[in-house]
Amino acid sequence: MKTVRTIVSYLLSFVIICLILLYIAIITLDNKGMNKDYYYKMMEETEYYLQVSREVDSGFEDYIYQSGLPEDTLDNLVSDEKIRADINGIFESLFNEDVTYEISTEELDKELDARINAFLKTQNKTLTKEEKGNITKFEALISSSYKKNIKLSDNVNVYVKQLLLTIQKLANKFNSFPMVISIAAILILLIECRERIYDVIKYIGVSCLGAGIVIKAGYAYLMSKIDIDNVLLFQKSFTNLIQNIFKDISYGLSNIATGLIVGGMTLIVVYAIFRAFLKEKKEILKKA
Amino acid sequence: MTESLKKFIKAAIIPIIVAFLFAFIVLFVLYKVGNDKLILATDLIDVVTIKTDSKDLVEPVLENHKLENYPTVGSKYGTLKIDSIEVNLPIYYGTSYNVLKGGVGHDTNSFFPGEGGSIVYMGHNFKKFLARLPETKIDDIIEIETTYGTFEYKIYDQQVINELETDKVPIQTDEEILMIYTCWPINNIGHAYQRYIVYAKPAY
Repeated sequence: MKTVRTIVSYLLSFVIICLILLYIAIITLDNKGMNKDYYYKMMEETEYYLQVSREVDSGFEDYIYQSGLPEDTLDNLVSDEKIRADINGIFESLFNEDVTYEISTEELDKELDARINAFLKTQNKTLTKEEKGNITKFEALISSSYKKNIKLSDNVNVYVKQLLLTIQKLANKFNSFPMVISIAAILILLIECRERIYDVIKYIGVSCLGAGIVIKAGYAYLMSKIDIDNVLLFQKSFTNLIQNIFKDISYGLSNIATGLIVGGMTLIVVYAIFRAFLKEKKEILKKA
Repeated sequence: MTESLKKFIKAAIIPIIVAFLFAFIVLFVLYKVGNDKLILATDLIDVVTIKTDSKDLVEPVLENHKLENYPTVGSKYGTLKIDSIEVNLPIYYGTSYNVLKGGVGHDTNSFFPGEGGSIVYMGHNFKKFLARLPETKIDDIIEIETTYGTFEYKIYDQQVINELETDKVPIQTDEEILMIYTCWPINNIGHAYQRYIVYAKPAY
């Protein structure tokens, strides 16, 4: 009977390991992976808006030299506020099923047109039909370069939106599931160990230690496979943002794992001290 | 005291072993369930990973028409000289904006001088770059000095092509052809739809 109880108790601590992992996954998704405010915070911290603004300018520069227009024609063509509003608009649309965001380049087009006309005036140049067409194409390329730098990729955006919504639905469905089951499992453990209540400390210690080892080992394995510092996704700004988010989340998980390992070991040590002390006491009582 | 220590170790060691065993089981299950997806993900990540291999820092060497140790993207690996139009420009591997600001860019899809395939260079049409490219003539000599050798080419054709006519800039390995192009017309305003391209073959 005692052996069966021990096996059942260990099985329960195995279940608790799985639940701790599930719970950590849900908490991480809730606080970070699926949390809009977290991304906004990271975008501010990594100066994402500023970097995108530089990339927008650099994207424009790719066209200016072949255009025959002065280099400063495209300087500060789009304001930082407009860039920020467009990035946030795209971002909001990823998290909301019913929201779509279209980047408007109306202002940009008007401003560019005005600058080109001003330049042509200073040159007293009358444009041929072909040159007019070239300018229209140039303006279209500038608009499209701006959109590309903000949106990155339509296909990826659609995929990310679907993924986020699926995770959101799953997380909402199972939000309280691990917590409820964990409490139930601990209660069963308490009932199982009612005669030697200090055994509960041991089983919870095993669960914490096991979960901590899983996270640490998983983290080490993942890091050996992914060289995150040398990844390039779309633009440098986006890569930098993703690298920082990845590092922040993995650093957080690594800290949780360390906490679990230290906590688990402490519980096991406390149990072992208690157990050794009780055995000694029993033996003294026996001798007496 | 020793006896107590023994009891303590005995009581502690089993839970620790069990914890490791459970962790191993969970990791094994996760590995079995998710490893295929992880391999797929890491393969995808490999595609977008910039390799920082120390080999990149080694000088390129040409052996049997195959270049060893390719230059890193964005690095200068040679000089383009066209004496007839007084061009003497650095050649960079890659065609990014920053590269083209400094000299001639080498299309990374094309081959290197000496490899026996298409070599595609491009540059802006400003005065200090390739504005005089259309002034070149058939049989003019183009010299490419690289860190692994000097190569001479003779111009055999010149054309104005549309920017979308990629078949006029074919990447092939049948013979060594140097193609250098710039935007056309030279004093264009707005988007330049055309390119002025010169074709050259080894002069030897």
